[in-house]
Amino acid sequence: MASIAARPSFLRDPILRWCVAGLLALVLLPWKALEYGVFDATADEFLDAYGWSHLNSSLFAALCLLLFVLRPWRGSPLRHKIDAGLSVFAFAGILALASWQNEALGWGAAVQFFVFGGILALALARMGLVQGDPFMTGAILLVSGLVLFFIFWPVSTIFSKVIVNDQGAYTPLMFFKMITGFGIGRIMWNSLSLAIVVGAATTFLGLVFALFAARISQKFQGLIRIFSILPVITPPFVIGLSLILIFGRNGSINDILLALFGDGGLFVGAGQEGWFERSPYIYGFWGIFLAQTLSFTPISFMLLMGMVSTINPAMEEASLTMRASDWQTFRYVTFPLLRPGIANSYLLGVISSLADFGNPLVLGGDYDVMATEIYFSIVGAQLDYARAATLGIALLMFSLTGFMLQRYWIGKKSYVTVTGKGSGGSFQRLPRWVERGCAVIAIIWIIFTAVLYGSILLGGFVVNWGADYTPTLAHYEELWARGFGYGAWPSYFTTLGFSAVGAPLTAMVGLLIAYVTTRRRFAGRNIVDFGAMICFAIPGTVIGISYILAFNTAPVLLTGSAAIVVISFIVRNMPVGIRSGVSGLAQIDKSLEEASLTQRASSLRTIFTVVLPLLRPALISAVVFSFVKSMTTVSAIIFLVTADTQVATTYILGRVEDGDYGQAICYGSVLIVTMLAVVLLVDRLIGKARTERKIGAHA
Amino acid sequence: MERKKSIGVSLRNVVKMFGNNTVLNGIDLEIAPGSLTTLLGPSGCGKTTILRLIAGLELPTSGQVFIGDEDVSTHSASQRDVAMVFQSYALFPHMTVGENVGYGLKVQKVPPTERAARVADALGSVGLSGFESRFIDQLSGGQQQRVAVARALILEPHVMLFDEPLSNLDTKLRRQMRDDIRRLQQETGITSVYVTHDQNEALAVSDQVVVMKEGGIAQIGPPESLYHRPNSAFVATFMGDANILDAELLREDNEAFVRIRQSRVPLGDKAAEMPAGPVRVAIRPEALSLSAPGSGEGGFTGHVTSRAYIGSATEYLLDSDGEELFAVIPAGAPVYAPGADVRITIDPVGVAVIGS
Repeated sequence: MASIAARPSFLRDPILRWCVAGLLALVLLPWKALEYGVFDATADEFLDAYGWSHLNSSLFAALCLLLFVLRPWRGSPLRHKIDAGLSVFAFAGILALASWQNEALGWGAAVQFFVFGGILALALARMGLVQGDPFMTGAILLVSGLVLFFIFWPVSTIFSKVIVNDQGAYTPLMFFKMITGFGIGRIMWNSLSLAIVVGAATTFLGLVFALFAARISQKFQGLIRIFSILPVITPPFVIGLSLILIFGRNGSINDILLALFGDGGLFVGAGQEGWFERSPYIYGFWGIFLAQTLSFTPISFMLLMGMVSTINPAMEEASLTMRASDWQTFRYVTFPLLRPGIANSYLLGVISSLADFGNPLVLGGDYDVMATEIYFSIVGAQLDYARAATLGIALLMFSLTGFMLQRYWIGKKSYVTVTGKGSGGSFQRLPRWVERGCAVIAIIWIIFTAVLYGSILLGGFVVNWGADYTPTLAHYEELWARGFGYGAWPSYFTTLGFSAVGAPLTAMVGLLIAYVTTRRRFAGRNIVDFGAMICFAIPGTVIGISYILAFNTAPVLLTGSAAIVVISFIVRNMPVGIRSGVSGLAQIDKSLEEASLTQRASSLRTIFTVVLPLLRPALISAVVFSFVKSMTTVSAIIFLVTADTQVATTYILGRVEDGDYGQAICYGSVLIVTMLAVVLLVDRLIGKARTERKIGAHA
Repeated sequence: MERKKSIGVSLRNVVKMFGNNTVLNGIDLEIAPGSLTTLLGPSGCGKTTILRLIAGLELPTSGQVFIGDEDVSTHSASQRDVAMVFQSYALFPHMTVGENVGYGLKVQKVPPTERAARVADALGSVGLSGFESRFIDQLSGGQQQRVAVARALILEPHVMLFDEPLSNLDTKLRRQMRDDIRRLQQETGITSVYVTHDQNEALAVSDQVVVMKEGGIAQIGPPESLYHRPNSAFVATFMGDANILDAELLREDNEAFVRIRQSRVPLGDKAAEMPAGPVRVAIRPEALSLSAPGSGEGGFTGHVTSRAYIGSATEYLLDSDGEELFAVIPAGAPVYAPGADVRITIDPVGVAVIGS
């Protein structure tokens, strides 16, 4: 026999196995969603939710599954097309029936989507798609499905919100009415002007530190590590909080100035009126600017550091041998080579500033920006979904434009890849005053950052920063010492739990998306690619508003559940997963997989025995980073959490809103320490594994 | 090792498109059981695509691929009885040599003891006995190449595929590996398909050479016939150097000749089907020989434009009434300086008619 591919017998046909799984799910799992979740439902509620307790759309699913078991078209030459058609029909049918009957679908129904997706993948593979590989076909279907369902569909709902009004009438011009409406233009201008200035500041500082670290002082390696970790482990509004501690109305700077120049101050004569009063100058444009610059400079630094260190020193040497001075070399060679990186970093700064939610929320004052206004439009009394959707669309468009520019315009202008092999050589000194300038700025920055983080760590140990500096453990006791059911513990555990569930899923789905988009050609790859790009570009608040709009009606009723919080974690962190998947896969030659395939391993087995072992370091870092990022995320989930699913960041924001800065800061520093511990621990473990393998390889 | 019966491979009207780009435009190819067939052509001609279609790493857009008498057109790579040696070797860096070679057996759930024996056997056949527990990065390029061959051999596949297997080796090693691959192939009788862009390699290892051009087959045949009887200027110049000239085909007394300038060159059976009249011919540079003007019968005259000494031979650029000719004259023959007049004669073995 020449081939190993015999046609499976009736009993061994994988379609039958899918059907059995589907039927089991129909019998065992609740068809309808449970109002209080699977674990908190009463027995009666559970019974009531089963598909077989009532006449509902589950009957249709059962009929389709039985049809697949019998498969009367088994002998037909069209059998694979019929399989594919019927599975699509079943898929659509369940959704249509459920929406018509207004049923919120639960786990039992979710399983059916996997079952019919699996059968569809088998049928398509048997028709010769994707090299006839059912697993890969399934993976592509799954990834496309996820992108359509969790990205395109929710985003499309915010668009529909501005086309159809609350009464259901068709209002095609509403978006334009809203966008030109009162106050919106000012908000957009606020956001944009802030982003433009923040982008410039973060890029400038990032460049200064990159030059300093790469060219001036080699004893800077520790700072690089700190810079790479800091933005990841700092909850987004904690920097804002520490700015309030230092510069706020009752902040340290005000205290000092007051002691010097205020009523009865050191430099003010007795009986004379002081020149200085307490003022809330930190709230508003400059406060947000400062917080965002502090938050995003590390990102810009990392990006430019990569650029600076890959410039081929031979270029500068060539310039110097042609009698150019230090300054001319920097001006005409080094700087132009860095220009694409600078543009890139600028756009990244702009996008991050536009999307930032935490800092403006804490420091904004009267200075309204889009990200926070989306939120304020639908909390409290307003509940103006059309306004939120309009702002969401505008914010998404700004952010997407920036991202497209970065990807398609600047991406093509990078010189670094063109220069090819580095040729030994060592870097020349930069012009003297550039070196000095960089050093001064870097030192100021380091001191400033140290003071800010110091205030975060210390702020939790005094009664009331700015008013009463008596040392106290009261905030810690209030949060942590009242038993696991009280204070910060419930939200802490919820955060850890959600992050622990979300992180591995993020890494897996990210890897799968990276895999199918970089390794496979298939119709619709561009759509998945575009969906992945939206993941990168979409601001968290836009995800928040779109998820609220998309998942609050049957058949997919997810708002209020833990699932939607975990899903939003996953979508928010998808860039981490995709990026580490793409860079990891780029290290693995495609022929390794092909070698495994021609050794007759299935593609599933190939992934497990060849791809995953080689990707292990990339996967672990993806899991860790998305775990840590989940713990600090706030913008999307603030729309989605309920009292039961409160997480650490929303709890802290609650404390901030109550004016309870002591507790907020105390919780913030515990979070930072937790995450630092996780990062360092895993770093240690990976480092150890790496050396072990090296030793093993040379034994 | 019990040897399987050799079976052939055939491609029937295979078309492969990537998007709107047609890479193969209707390939018909028969590969005889037990033979070694080389796919030869410039980069982008579609030779590697044919290999990948046989492996199942790509599926044809239309047309069929047969292994033996079974249509495998829609079977995936893991369902086909083929093994492949990759250009980059594609050895798994996280496995030892033994694990790499035994990978296919493990996939097929061969018990560990039998697996170890067969791995040792396969490594022995490529001269790497005892290398089982080494890691890949501890091997030289030539050793890695041998591991890759052992990994393909161990499955005793019906078809072995080689994708430019020697391109990463230096010249000396390349010749030795080339001979080893040929020897192993003949010992095992496994039908093999071999992709290369090096015509010397192709001529040295093959039973049959397939010259490809722009997604189609330019010519198929055993190495000698491709070298001596190319059917087109493309094949003639791709299989070594050739002078392409206008000439006239003559038929006298059932014998065919070509008149090339003042020379009459007998063709034997090389142009059996062609009518008399103007034709184009390809002349191998080593088929030209030089002598002093007026020193003998036949031939035509020209003068030396330039020459280059390359050790085993001397290369001449010649001019004959404005027609440029390239000649390679073995060391030992008289040497002519640039500007010298020479008589040029043609050895009929090195002449082929390549079209009218």
